[in-house]
Amino acid sequence: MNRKMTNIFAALLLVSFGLTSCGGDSKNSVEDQLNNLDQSDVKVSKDAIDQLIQSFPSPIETSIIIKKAGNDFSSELLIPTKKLDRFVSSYDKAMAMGAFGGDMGYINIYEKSFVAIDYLAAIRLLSVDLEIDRFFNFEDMIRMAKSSSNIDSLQQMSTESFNNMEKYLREKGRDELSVLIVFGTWLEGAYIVSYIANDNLSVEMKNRVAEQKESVEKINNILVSASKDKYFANLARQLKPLLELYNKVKIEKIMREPEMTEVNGELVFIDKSETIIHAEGNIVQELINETIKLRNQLMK
Amino acid sequence: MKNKAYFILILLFFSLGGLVSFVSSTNADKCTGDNEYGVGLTSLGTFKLIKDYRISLKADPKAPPSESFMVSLKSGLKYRFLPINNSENKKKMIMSVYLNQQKGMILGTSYNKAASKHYPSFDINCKTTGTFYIFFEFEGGEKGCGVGMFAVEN
Repeated sequence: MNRKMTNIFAALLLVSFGLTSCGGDSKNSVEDQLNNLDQSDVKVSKDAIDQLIQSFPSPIETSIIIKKAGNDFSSELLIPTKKLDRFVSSYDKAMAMGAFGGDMGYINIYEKSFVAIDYLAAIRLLSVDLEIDRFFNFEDMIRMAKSSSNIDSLQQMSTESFNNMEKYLREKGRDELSVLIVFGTWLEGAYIVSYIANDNLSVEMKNRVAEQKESVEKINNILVSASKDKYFANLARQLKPLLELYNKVKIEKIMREPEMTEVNGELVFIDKSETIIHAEGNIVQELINETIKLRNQLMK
Repeated sequence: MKNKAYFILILLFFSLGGLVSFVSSTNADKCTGDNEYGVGLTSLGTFKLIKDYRISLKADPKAPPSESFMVSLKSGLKYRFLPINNSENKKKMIMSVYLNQQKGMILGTSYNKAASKHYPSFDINCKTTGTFYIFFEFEGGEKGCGVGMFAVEN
């Protein structure tokens, strides 16, 4: 009997260890999956898609780059906030919401809080339709926008609201909306860069247009992996001319170990790497034209 | 008699399981990351928050626990990375940025292993636009929880 009892106890212990160890890191193969995303026979895990969604640059970064390059604020390039009924389906609305979020990033970085009120109102209407309005405290945000002294708090609250909403959508398995919001945000950022570069084609702005290559490839991979849905297949088709233009751009990265230094007690790593962008002939102008065309097709 | 012994054994097993589960859920409740998030916001200074990561790593006898996330950095921008520890952590959380998921090249870290020194934050002056990996782990492969913040200078 003792032996039998020992066996049962051992079995229970094994089950117990099995249960506690099943939460291991499933991300080991994420990079491989992402690298192979363009192969249609590769099944992509939800984890890989989540990682892709999370890795897109925020609209704040794009706006800071534009501001640092010495460009003035232009309200002309923002999406019109009137006639929101042009966004019919929940997919259209999710994409528009992302784009309005992109505009909010641009408005916030230039501290044009008086313009923000209309954009907050548009985001509010779209988020109510998508049933994700609980992530935004619109009363407080509009109050902050009316008082230009609270622009930092408005920026932070906008970022937090979009982050929480995106996290919720992914956790609830509503990845399709999450992807479209990210796509809308990216497209609006790429449009703003292109619009400004169209007027001021400096080396800096040329490079900023060309470096969208990685984002276009990533968004294309996501759209293709979801192309069983007609809406996503159609978006992938619309993105294709831009993708083909970006295929002509070559980005060479020379990675070097960073230099570590302490500045006023702060630890700073100085990147010593180098990026060389090869975009021959008129390709950057073609990229600008195609990006503007795509954004206006989808958002106007 | 036999049945009674089996019954006691099974009861004992599930009681232990319940106790373990209760202890871990109590710890998890304590570690929502909300307090750490509040602390992090006050340390951002002129940097603008981009994303926060709620980290909770359990001890793993097979390998030091860690969690990684893809992150996009843009050349010409200065980024700040802040690891904020839960007060009950035995060892401090280390936040690092690597070239790839295989930890190919380190681009920045909050822990100087040679000097055994932890920093409350670190900055990266980025010169290369691309997708990289943020890793979270605890010194000595310990378990623990906290929040990681990623921000950009305006």
